[in-house]
Amino acid sequence: MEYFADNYDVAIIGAGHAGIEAGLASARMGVRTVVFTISADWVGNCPCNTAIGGTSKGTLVKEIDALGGEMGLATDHNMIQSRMLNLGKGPAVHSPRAQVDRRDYSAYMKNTLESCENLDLRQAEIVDIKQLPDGQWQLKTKLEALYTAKCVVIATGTFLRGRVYVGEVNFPSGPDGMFPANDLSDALNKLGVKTRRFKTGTPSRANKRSINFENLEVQEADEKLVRFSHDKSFTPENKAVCHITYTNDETKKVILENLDRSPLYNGDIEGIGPRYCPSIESKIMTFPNKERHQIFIEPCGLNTQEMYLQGLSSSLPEDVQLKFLRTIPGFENIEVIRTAYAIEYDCVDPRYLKPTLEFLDFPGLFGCGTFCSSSGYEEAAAQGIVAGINAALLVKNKPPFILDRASSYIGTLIDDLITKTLTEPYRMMTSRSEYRLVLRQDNADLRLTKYGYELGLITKERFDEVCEKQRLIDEELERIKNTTIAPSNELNNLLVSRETSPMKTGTKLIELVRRPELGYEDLAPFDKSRPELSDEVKEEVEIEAKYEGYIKRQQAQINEMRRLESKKLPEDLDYMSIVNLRLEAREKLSKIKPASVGQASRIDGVSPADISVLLIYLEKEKI
Amino acid sequence: MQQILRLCLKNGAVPAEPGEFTKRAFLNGKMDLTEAESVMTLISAHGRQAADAAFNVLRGSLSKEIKDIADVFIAASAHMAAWVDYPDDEIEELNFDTLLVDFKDARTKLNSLVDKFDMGQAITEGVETAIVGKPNVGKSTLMNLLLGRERSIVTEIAGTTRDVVEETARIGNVVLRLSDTAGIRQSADIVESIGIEYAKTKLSHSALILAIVDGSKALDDEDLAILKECIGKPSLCIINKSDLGNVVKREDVLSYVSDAITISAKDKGSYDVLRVALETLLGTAEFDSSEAMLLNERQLSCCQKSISCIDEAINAIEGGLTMDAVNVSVDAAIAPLLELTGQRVSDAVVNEVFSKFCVGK
Repeated sequence: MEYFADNYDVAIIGAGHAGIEAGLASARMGVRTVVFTISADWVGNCPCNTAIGGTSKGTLVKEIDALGGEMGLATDHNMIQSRMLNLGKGPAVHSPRAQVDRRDYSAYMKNTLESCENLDLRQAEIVDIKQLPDGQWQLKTKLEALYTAKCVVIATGTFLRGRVYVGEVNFPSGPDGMFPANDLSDALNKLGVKTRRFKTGTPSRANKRSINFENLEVQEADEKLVRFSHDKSFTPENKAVCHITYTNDETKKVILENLDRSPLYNGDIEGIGPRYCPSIESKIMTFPNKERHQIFIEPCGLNTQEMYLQGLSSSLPEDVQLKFLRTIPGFENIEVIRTAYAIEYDCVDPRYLKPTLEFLDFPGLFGCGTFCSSSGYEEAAAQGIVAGINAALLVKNKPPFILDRASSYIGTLIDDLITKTLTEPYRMMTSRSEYRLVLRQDNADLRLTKYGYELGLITKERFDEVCEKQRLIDEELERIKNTTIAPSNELNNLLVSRETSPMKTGTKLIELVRRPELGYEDLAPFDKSRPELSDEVKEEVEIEAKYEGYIKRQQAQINEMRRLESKKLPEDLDYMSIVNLRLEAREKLSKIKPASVGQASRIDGVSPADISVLLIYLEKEKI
Repeated sequence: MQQILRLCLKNGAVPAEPGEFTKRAFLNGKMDLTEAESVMTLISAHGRQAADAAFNVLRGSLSKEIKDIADVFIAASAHMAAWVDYPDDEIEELNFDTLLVDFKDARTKLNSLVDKFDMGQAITEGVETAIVGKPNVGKSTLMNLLLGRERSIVTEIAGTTRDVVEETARIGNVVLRLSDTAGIRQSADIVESIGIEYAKTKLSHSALILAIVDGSKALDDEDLAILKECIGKPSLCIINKSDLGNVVKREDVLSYVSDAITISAKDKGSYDVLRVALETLLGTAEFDSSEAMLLNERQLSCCQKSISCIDEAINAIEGGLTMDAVNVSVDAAIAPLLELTGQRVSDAVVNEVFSKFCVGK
């Protein structure tokens, strides 16, 4: 029998990476929040790779930290190995990445949710959602409890009507053997929220003692520690290494012989999977001439023998999996703890969302994470914090928080999601941002802390620290622009040894720093007036000096972009009546309702010519 | 016929505006912007070679050239993106040497388009020409020579920002535009005196100067003053009245002008000498209408933008800058090329649509 349980300001459905950030942000902004999780034992689970960060994803995590989110802290506190990727390819693409202890990470997040003021964590499956006449949302749990809330944030990940496939066997299931959420999709559909089916997959996890590491390449951690958060009160340690092995012709043979038993290839799976996380069978089919595929063996934690086999995602039958695994060097006697599987799930087209992640047609209803057709923990968390912030702002009747493309990777992610036509789950990549020389992982704090502070998620103390850091950087840049270094034998010896031209006359220090062959540190012995500065400040000074021209130019591009963004489009604009627009464009524009001409120009199916027509129309109608 | 037309209009049909079919073709994605622009050039083309050139662009010669170049940059950019986003995968290393070769090759092609622009303009749009010389050197006779033969249509171009009456003289494959705001050829660009300020203004707006001197008498100060104004500009000295004497020699004037010919403007046979000299001077002699060419300032500016970005990319590679900076420059080189063909929108595209197709301002 139904009973009324409680009323909240904001209700979050799901305690994965998205739900956690949403819940914490909302609660920390002073708004009564509840986070529902289908299983209290797997809050903040990593069902795939037990790693956080990577190319462009590392930047997302640093941005979440700068806004006052939790992922950066959780990663630093639970990391077992870290690396900075793309060193040597330039600061715009440096990417921090860390292996984390899977159980510890989850425990940390659960504890954080449980201890958070204004936040209640409840284990419950939400089976129904309705909107009440007064605009509030009503949720019903499987145990027939009714909850009301002003705002609801859906962060259901891969749980909605989840179905797991392993070869010929398939059954309703969430990831990692958890219960699926079978009823909420129907409730959403009844409400009028359209869903579609996507898929993803995960590799098997094997027992460490059954792997022969003898001849395998080692991938060490970086000596210089990599951090994701602002918290310097402790030092993470590298405690684990990864190994590398490769598939071979035998592996290929086994897979090809059994392809008809793969649900991906025999049509059993209807969902569309991401190109960026292909199964091993997909890789072999798409690149038949590739002799070998790289496999990474990653530890799942310090207190477990489970090893994650990255690159071997598969939905082939269990017996075939074992067969192809054992063809791989090091895996001859492998014993699997968890079998690889593919999972299909319901999600929504994020083009139905505003840049605040609120549904265009359902005020107070928000979506974030894999539920919104993205893929990846960091992408989920980035959306989560934005959705949580906006849900809280809506409750408080305050203007929304929108990050544009030029402000952050988070802004780029959301803009892409709500604008692009996605035929597969969206993964963040460095190349997605046209402003990546300005949006770097090293300056995330400088760019975004002020927003976190304005929202009440960052303390004044922390904000002041960041302001001070910026001040020191600006001052030092000024100083090196105006400091002249005289030529000397030692200096010229250094220059020649670095294969750069020696100096004949005094040169401004910044000119020397700009030379690709020299670093800011190299010039220390010759720079008498140099103040004591932290490594972080020095890093920023060096980057800003070396890339000044590029950064200036990107800034100009950003200003130009913002000009088009400022050409707002009214939400009620009747695109169907603009006869000069092609029909496809009219349909897309009516459906997506872009907030600005800038956003409209990024929609697939809206051509540049259509934008011309739109601009002409706006001018004619004086909009 | 008229009745059918009237009936259509009565029932709500709207007569097509100038350029409307082309406009709709562009807006419907049936032709790209360079092809649409070529239609306008084709319509206003003077002479067959101009028409050939425009028609060639209409058939997509410029689009193809630009697309091929853009493809080189896009491929490089994609490779760089993959190399960055999958650092642990076994992506083929970027070969900077190959990239350099590819980029320099692309830059050469773009530079070639830019270099030929002036010549192309001479053919399709005509050359702003000033005719200078002191009184009685035979300017009117020369004018007759230019205009008497194959006199071009006096065109009235209304509805654009120019509102100017032009007299054009087509000679060979070159069109000389003798512009005149009053609309009467007598008060056109024949500078009657060396009223310095007036003369200088006129000359500074010209892309070509025809300086006439009486070759049967020695050069005097007035002649020299006129010739001095030609220094540094494309100019042809016409040593006239060769039938009366040959006192002035070519060498006497070559330090002031680009080239000089000795003719008698009265003699119709001089026409060909004049024509060849002009074509050589303007570089249109070797004009090949089958080659891709840029048709207008907008297209030129897109090319120049792309060149400056690819220069940057090349300098970045040669200067040892990291790959992220190179990548940004390459991406920046692609954007103006997409603007050129109209694939990517910008205000430039909008303005172009407005000015060429006269959509209600």
